[in-house]
Amino acid sequence: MTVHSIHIFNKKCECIYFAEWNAKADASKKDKLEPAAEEKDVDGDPETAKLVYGVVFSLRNMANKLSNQGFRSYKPGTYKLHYFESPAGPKLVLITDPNAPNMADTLQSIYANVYVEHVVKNALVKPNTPIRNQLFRTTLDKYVRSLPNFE
Amino acid sequence: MAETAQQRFVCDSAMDFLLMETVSLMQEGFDSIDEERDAAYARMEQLGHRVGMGLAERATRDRPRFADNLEVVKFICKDFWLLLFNKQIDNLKTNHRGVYVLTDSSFKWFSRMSADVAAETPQLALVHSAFPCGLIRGALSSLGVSSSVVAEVAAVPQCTFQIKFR
Repeated sequence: MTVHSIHIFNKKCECIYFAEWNAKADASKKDKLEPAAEEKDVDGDPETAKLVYGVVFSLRNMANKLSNQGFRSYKPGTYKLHYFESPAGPKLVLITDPNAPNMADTLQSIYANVYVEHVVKNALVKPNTPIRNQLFRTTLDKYVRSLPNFE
Repeated sequence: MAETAQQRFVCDSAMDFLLMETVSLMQEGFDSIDEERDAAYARMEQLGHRVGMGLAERATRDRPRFADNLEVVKFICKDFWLLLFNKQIDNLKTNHRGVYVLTDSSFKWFSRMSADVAAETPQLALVHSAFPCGLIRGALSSLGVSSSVVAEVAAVPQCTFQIKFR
């Protein structure tokens, strides 16, 4: 199981963080293998982010109307997208390969242990702005790489 | 420190967030970045002074008077810091001529700080060190010692306080 990428959206529907691991084989654009420090486009491709947000938003509303549980993940043929919405605000979207198990706990712990610790409790960060601080980036990277099936 | 059964607790995180916001609040209303930083520093230090005075009085309620300046500084390093942050100062150095250097290797309020460019973090963290400086100065002054306290941040989360007795 590999994790491909993560998006974090704030309450204003803006993508405040994007990171990518193991660039997919058919990626035609720039080869961003790791969230490098000097990338000027740290939030990833804004168009992709908007598309992802749109999909997630529609699916979430549909699932809420159809059932009590709400939208957690979906799986087309080549990938699996996991969604986590925290009560306070940010939405986490994780894209992995299709064989991934349920990542709800992982997402919850990314939120609680990485986001809250290094963004919310960080005195030097203004809320709702794009996340660029080093500590968050390295902690998230380490955490994802330490997941049991990450390759 | 003995507390009665009616002690009331405040959430730790709430306190941290309040202080973070106070620093930003203190920086408002000034035009240039340097003015902002100096003004914020001065105001936070005054705040800390007042809080430190009250806290020290409360903490030394049942204790006898301190023998000399070294005892006072040791009180700051152990009991006062324990009261504030649940840990003691990690290192104390002195030149025996009225200058003491206190080092906290993982200062609680700096433990989650990180800037976009890692190298800038110590500079930005300096404003947040004003309140603890004031705390120490206030505590010392309520214990009868006049001093000046300056903080140095080499790398977060480490913080060094330099006390000069007057």
